[in-house]
Amino acid sequence: MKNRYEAMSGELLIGKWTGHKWRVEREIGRGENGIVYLVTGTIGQAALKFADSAAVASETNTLKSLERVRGASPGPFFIEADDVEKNGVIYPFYIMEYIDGLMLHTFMRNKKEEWSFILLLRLLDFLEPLHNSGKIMGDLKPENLIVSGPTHMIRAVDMGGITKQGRSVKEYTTLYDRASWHSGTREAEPAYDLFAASVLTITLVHKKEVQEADGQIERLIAIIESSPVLQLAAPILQQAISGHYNCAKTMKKELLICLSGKKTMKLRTRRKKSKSKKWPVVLVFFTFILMVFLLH
Amino acid sequence: MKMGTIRQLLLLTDGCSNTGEDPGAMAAFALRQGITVNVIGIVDDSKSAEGLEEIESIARSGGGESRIVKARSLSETVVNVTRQAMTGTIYNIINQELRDILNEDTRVESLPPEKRGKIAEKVEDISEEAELKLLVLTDMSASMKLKLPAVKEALYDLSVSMQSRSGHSSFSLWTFPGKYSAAEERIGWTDNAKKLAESFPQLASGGITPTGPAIRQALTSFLDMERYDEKSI
Ligand SMILES: Nc1ncnc2c1ncn2[C@@H]1O[C@H](COP(=O)(O)OP(=O)(O)O)[C@@H](O)[C@H]1O
Repeated sequence: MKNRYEAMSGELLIGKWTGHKWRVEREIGRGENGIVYLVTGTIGQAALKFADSAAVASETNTLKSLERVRGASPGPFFIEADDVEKNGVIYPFYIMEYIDGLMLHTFMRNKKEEWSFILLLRLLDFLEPLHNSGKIMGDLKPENLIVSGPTHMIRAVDMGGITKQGRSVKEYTTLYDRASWHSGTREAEPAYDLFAASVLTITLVHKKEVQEADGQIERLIAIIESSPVLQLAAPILQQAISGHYNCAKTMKKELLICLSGKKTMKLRTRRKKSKSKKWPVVLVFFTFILMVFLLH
Repeated sequence: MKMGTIRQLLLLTDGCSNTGEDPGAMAAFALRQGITVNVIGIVDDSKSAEGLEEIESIARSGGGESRIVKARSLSETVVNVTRQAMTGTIYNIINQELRDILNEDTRVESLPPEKRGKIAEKVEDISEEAELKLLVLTDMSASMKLKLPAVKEALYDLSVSMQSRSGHSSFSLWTFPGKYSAAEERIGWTDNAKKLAESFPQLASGGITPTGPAIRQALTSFLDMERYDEKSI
């Protein structure tokens, strides 16, 4: 980025257009395009992102368009865009909702590996409304996603890759990009994200192996097949990788059936006689396990 | 607004030039001809970044983007830099128009944020639909040897991304130092970016790094093409 504005904790930023005042609490993070600060204004806490004018305008548009999805937004709610002017230089920024939570990989650090499935379910919940709004995430990676709230909702904090369906993906990361695995184009369609979601899930459990697979899709599939943890959802992960799904909802449904189906089948063979009576119990049991997972 | 062709030169290198004209001056010359110069510096995992200030200064003079990356992330960087530079070029043209219509100091930043949002939408459409001419100029000096497979992969990747764009794109590959001159054309203008990757030479040529002269020579490729375009119209 050309001229970054480096704000200091405690500094008071005054918006050129609105006159609104924002007190800088601390830096939250920085990336290729900008620096994000936690700030307080009259409305309370918010996140403020400095970036170049093109990025601010384009991310602002994306955030606004996401809110047309009613209710919760897959990303932070947009508050306002403004500039700070210092010594004749204009530093554009925008204010958005501060999303409290942990980045996906930080979240996983002290969790059991089975959590990766819960996160995949949540990821599909996140993708569905986004896809319905005619866009895709594009740059789907743990660093761009935050797990927040008691139900572990997943929300995006980096809008840079969000692309209108039918166009070419604006920004991506090789590890999660289906074209880099020689498994499809870089055209923005739901299947592009679902491929990435599947790789992301595998990466949560076997990061090193996925990196070492180095774009060879057979090796990626071998990782799924040989992983005791991923076994449970292997068919779904593989189908997403082969481009079978173009709808997050369908993938979620089949994932749920798959996760519960495996166990019921095992129990069924063991207790053949009481099969018809037992399976609703098993289902209830499984829903319970899932709830416990989701709530913890 | 009418949008012509977006012209870019992408320089891939791993260090400092050591002979001939100042590459920054050549990049500035390119910019005056309406060609944006982007530079990606490829570094080793182990080595620290030395002589890399030049990379940023070439891009700054050339009105483009610069990045310093490890060979591993070259692919995504080539695509992202190309895209961002296209956006940058379109903004420059808009700024120019604003200056012509309004006054000297007007830029997109002088407009209120809501107006910028509208412009950003337009810019996105244009960058998807505009015609792109991209010349890739690759440093083949001895130290690049181990990085050449990554360059090849990145070129393949670029072709995949550009195929998904709705606008027309064409590509050309140059390398330096050349056998008989500072740089040589490996693949002339083609619509098929895959060709760049497929016939990418894997042999480093060693010796000097004449980055400045190489840029100057590669630029003739754009100028020739223009003459050709005029004739064909
Ligand atoms: N609204 C937000 N709420 C909480 N954290 C945020 C928010 N926006 C950004 N961040 C944090 O700031 C970091 C950098 O922001 P990001 O938008 O990804 O920058 P860049 O576009 O330059 O990569 C993110 O990784 C995230 O941790």
